[in-house]
Amino acid sequence: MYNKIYMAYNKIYMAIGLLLLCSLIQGQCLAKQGQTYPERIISLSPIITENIYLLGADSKLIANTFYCVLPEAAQKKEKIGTLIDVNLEKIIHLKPDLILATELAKAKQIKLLKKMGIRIVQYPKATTYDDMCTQFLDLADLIGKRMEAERIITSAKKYVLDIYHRVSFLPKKRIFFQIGTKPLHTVNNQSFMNDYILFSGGINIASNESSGIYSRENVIKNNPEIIFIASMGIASDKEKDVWMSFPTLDAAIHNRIYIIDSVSTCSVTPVSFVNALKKIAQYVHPEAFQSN
Amino acid sequence: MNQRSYFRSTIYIVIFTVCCCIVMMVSLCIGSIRVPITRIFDIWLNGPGSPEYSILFSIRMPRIILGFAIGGSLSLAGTILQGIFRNPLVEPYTLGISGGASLGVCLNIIFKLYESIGILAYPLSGFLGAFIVIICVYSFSLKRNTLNTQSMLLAGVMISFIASSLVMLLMAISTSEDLQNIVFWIMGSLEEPNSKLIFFTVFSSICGLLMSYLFCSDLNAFFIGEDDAFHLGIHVERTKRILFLVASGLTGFCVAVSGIIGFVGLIVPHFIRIVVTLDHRILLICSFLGGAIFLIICDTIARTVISPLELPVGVITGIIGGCAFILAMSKKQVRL
Repeated sequence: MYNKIYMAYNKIYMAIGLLLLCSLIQGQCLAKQGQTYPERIISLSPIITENIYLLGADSKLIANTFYCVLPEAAQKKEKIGTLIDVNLEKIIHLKPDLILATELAKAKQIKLLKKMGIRIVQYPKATTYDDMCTQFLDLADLIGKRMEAERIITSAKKYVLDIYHRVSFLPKKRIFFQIGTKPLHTVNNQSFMNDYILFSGGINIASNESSGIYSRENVIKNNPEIIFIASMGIASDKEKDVWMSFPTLDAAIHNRIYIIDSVSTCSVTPVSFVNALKKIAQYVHPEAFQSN
Repeated sequence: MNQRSYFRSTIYIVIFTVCCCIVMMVSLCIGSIRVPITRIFDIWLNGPGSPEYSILFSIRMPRIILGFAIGGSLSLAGTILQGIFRNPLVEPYTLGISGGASLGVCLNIIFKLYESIGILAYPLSGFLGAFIVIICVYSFSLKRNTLNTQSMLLAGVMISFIASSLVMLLMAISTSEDLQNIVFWIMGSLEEPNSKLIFFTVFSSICGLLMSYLFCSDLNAFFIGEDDAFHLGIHVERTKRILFLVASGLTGFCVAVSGIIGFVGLIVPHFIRIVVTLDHRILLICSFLGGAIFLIICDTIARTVISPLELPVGVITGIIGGCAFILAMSKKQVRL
């Protein structure tokens, strides 16, 4: 009788052992399956396109939007529309296995594409530089370029920290960052562009506003020491003249109103952010960069 | 109707039906990916799986069916309203329905109702806005149990102005993403992922057509004036109310599903009156089919002319419709 119990326990242990072994093998199989990365990617945003080129996965990019002009090689890819409106027939004909979009994409079109069984990942607007880096790493995970991404982010963050350390002990400047006119638009703390001001040793006078729309009177009241205007063609020159006409405005008195290129500051990857930040920091605290 | 005119009207209806089928088939073949007409049957038989099947039957076919329903509904609503008001400038959007629907959708976008209800919040909010306007116009014009057509028009136009101003106010205070969403909805589009909604639109357009046919003789009588129609034995008030509700309901559904696609309800009825007849017994069905054909053609042009980009379909309906109408009017002496 004890023999029988012993044999029964043996059988149970063997069964458990076999089960564990099976799950281990299955785990490995699943892990190996999870490693198949998408081979045909469509990008619905210039920033996502730039990120893909940065990670060296551009051979997998089969199509992008008309606005994907950087780097120059991206202009030669198949075009399927704009960030907000795409040609569904063309996309389906290209048979992608992954579509990367922003939240600006039309909801109905995204729903239709998902109904066809195409995998779509949408990225919301980055609220901070850290957020931008996290999205970059997520993108890298999706396409199997995690190591390259980590290398790029580590290097970029090092540069950002270097710039910040140069200016962190200097007195903070009050800054107004204008990105639109009619109506007057600025950046609040819900946009990654606020980090340009923070990392270059400044204070954003519109940081706590609930929306980006701001009034000229509020700017005069808060009296910024520096005004940045994103380039908008002739409109930005006119805006600069308008600001310069206020005799009590600190930025006008000391002639610290700068027009900066909008494409290289508003539409950025984690790497191009660093270049833009350097330019802005040099305007804000030129004394910290004079040794260069 | 004598034998000859009976024969003539049947011919017209047959011609329009055949044209409609041809236009639908041709539209199915045209697009950024051209599919020859002979291959359509093969692709359909092979079933889902090929990208061509997805393109033809999941993207183009729903658009064509929706174009049929919405073009037909708007055209029919325009015919009915032009018949009731006896005013050539009346179209489905004159009564403020488009304004109400735009306001409903604007509020949905700004207050992010679609995040809790889902994408169905768009047509629901659009229809709710349209419905509220219909109730307002109806109640403002009801004086001593009679529906005054003059005050209906005035009330509709005023409500339309109020609604557009409110929409502009909401656009001025919205974020740029919401603004884009609002503008695209207002521009109108026949893209719709929900097949139940498409089926519902087709069903309501056919119901509207059948209901309007119950009053086709009454609409003919309205032509000579309400008092004379009354003396001919028409229940003028009942007819006006029911037809107003049918036309507004059709318009409300169309605007809720596809946004604002203008000119179809204004141009097509006039065009059919010039080319075919003023008799509502034939005018209603020919208007419906004519509107369907017109909208499907315009949608096909809108999605192919600057491919891969797409123009809003309202742009094409305005340009082509306006030009075609002026051409037809200059060629024939017409009494509207």
